[in-house]
Amino acid sequence: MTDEDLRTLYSRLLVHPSVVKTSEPHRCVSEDELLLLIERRGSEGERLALLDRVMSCDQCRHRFELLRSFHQAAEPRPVRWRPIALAASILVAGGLVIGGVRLVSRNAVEEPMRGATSDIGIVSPRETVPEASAHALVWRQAPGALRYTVSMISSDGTKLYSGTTPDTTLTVPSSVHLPAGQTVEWWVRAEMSDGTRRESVPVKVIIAR
Amino acid sequence: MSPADAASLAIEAVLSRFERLVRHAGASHGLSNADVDEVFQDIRIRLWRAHPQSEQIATLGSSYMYRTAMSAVTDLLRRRQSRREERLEPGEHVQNTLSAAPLAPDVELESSEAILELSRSIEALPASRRPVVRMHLAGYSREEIAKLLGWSEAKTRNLLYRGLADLRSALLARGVGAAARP
Repeated sequence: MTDEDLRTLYSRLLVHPSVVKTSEPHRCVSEDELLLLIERRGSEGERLALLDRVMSCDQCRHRFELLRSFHQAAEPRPVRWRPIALAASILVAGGLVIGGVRLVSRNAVEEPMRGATSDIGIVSPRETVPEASAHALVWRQAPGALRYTVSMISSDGTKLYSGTTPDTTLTVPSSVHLPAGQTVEWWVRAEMSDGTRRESVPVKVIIAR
Repeated sequence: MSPADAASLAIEAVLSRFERLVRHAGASHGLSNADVDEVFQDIRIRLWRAHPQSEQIATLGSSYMYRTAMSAVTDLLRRRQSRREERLEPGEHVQNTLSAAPLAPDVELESSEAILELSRSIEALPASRRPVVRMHLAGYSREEIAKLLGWSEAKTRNLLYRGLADLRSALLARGVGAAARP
């Protein structure tokens, strides 16, 4: 049997557990047990036994998935290096011709962005800048925007600053320390006159030493 | 701008990115959008009550957000579990809510046998391989399995492949999948 055959059969098993007559009925995993599993607490044997129970019940698996998604979203995000081929194919698909070679670093969970995005162009800072320049944020106007909310986080996901302005520039207060060598990420979200929101693509900035 | 508006904006600024990451994390495993919406609504209310000032909200750390979010999710799951148990008769066990859906008649006989044999074969796997195989069959990647169990990629691959080989052998021995082989 192929993996696909096994998966199809397994999905039927989860949806129709009554087909299997067991002497002991399934006991759903508690929320505390789900947390223990997701946060990797307890012995490996305990966690394997819990995981087995979770994965054998569609309902438990959905509860597990909800908790796991929130846990994963709150984790510090590793930086990954994408191969040249992927970067090139993205650029070609966009109608651009690139000569030479380029490496694109992209975080694993930044994409895909959802909703209306990226007609707000980030002007500066971008890439590597001294701390003094990193406090002055500039972006392009989004037609119909009433106000902009700017957010800045550190590389481990800690919120550094958030502010709102009707303008397309904002100065991060000097009390917000941006240490040399640190990578920060910032983005802009626009509240539009029609009630919708638009968001820029987040930009990573390295504070120069 | 009123303090209430400022607080709302601050809450949205804190949550917008987090929400996107949650939806992305759960997208490949059937995470329900309605569930995520319900949890985020609860988080908004918690933040609003605990931090009425926008300045306070803007300075909240990621660990605080994590605890608030996990607490909101577990409370939601507990409320649902409690509602389900209230609907059951005394002594009746909480079972999979999807179990009532019948199999299509044309697949019922054949599938029931195969499902039964698959269940028996999985149950017979060693305890270290069984949950790994279950996760793989539920669509989780090796990377996700390794991360959840704190295992190396090599250990995960080894246990998964051995588990799948055991499973296929057991199914063949029970007469399932033999016809699919050349």
